[in-house]
Amino acid sequence: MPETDFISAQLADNSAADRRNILYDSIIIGAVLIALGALFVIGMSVERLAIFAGFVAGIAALGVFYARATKLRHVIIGAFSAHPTLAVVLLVVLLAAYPLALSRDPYLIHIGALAAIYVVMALGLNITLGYAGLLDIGFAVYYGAGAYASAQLAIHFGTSVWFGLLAGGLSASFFGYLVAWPALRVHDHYLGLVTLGYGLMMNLLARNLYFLTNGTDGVINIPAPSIGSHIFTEPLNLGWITLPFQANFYYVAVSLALLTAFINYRLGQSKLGRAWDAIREDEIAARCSGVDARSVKILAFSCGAFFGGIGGATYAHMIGYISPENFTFIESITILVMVVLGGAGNIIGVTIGAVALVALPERFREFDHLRLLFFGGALVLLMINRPEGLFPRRRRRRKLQPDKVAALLAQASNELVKATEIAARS
Amino acid sequence: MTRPLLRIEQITKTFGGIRALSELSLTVGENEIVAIIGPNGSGKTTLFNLIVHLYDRDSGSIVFGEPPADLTRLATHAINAVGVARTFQTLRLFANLTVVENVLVGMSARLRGGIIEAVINTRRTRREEVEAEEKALELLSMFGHRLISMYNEPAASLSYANRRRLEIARALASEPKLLLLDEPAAGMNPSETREIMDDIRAIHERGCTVLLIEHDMGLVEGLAQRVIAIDHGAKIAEGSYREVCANPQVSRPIWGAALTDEANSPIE
Repeated sequence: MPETDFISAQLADNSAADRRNILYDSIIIGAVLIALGALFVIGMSVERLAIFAGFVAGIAALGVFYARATKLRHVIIGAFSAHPTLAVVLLVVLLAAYPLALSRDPYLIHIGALAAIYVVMALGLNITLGYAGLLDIGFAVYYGAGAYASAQLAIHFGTSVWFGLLAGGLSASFFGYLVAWPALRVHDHYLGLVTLGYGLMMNLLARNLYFLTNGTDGVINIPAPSIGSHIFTEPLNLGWITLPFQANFYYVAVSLALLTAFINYRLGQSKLGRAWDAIREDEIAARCSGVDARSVKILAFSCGAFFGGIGGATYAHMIGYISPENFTFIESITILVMVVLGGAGNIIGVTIGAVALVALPERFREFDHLRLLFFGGALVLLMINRPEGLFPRRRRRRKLQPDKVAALLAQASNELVKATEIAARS
Repeated sequence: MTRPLLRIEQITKTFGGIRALSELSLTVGENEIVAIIGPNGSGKTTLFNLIVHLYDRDSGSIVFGEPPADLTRLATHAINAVGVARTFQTLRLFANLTVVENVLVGMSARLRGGIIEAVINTRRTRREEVEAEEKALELLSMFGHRLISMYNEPAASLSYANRRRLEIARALASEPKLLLLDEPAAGMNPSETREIMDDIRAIHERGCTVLLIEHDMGLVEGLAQRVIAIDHGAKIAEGSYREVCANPQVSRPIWGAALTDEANSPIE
């Protein structure tokens, strides 16, 4: 009987989860996280470009091996999904330890902070594109809106940078809300064109609305944040160790990235996430099922833009200078590629995509003029081989009430037995 | 006929130069099962699309329930909320969502809680989720073990007949007063058709009014308390199954011939 098989499979599944050895799993989780971190650090510290190119090829080979090695993958995924809290705690510990281990290397800490900022923004786009399936090729608009709003507030009104971050997020949200209105009328690639046009338009405005943005001169001397008397442009003294000032921004950016990932996760799991899934899959069926497509789309644009704005504002205060050159079409494409390459809808995938696309161009600086060539080539290869990205979205499975399912199944099979008996008698 | 639940008056819809529906009027009473029959292209699915306001009508009125709601002024999702749910002739499931998630989407109009609650994940939100899932599982169990044993599998992995069943379960999730079924037996074999007829009867017994489109005359004869035949967007006969069949304009051979014709409705 298929259903009894199903019940026993379910029960076996549950007991397998109980039987898992927490020590063994934590070693696996720790090893994976440390290996990822080590890859990043080694990759960023390799001196010669030729060696680095070989290193990248090595990572690609490793990736292919991981995709092929089903058993290994099951062990790793099993460990992570059995102890998600442990994994998060280990991740936080490792992220906190990163500047401590590299206290002599401010550059690497800076790159870490930059990567975290892009993680925030890419996870923002993950809401719009990954969850709701709305193609937004003008994401740099929100980045810019957040950066300018926060910077100008701090410069002209002397507001706290922390308030500025929030204000930057909210003003970016407003820009997301603005584009949502025309965007509601079009679908798919037409939507891409609308957002693309929006991005180009806003960049042009940023270049010309001198009173708001200082035009192409950009905004300079953006104040750095501070906590109490500790200003972020000064080294971070922890008593037993002094970290370069970049560590200040690193910790803020990483905290924001973790928070963004958490919010992404919660939204994805919620009723709203389900509504986004539904309109992505089939908007007409979703509307007929009671999903208010209009408002969930507006929400998707505004939410995604919010994180774009927070990322932009953090960037502005970290670098201290912004100009329209920061928020170009290329920037939109870069963030889009982070999401698509990593795997739209998959938080871990998008995070890895964002970190990789910050690290790689940084190392290949000599070839910056060829950046789009690499992006284009990588995208073409990816879309042919893994159209859903390196880490495809994972289907939301419910684990709430297996006993309820078992009871209903037992009832159904009882009825089936009764029906067959009746049929046999007559 | 019982108290009217859905009143459609003089509804007209044209696509370019083609009149899909012309001045069609019909009424569905509370707790009735009404079948609409007619050849392909006669405007049946267009009628459904007008009822749930996927299309704007050219003229006429569609009024539902008590107090009367003007469906031509409500958005599609709001029509679901006032108690009209539908299935699709060409299946429109959320193929990559699991079976139970498909049903949960069907409850969208009933579930509350906004974006902040989603992030905080309050106790109320969690409780609501658990209750919703419980209800979804019960709806799935309406079809015996067929859907419930697949509850955590993607809808795309279901067999064709099970996909039709899941569409019905999803539509019922919004606790509709009126269920619109667009060819519920299309593509099903005779025993599956008998099963789906039992299911529709069970839905009807729970107090749900059913308006269905169907080409399978066995199903129409077995279920419909009233049959409405339309052709070229206009009503040509109405009454019991026998009355409609006896009508000289509606002869069986025509429907029989129409059956071999593959559907091409304007939407989807």
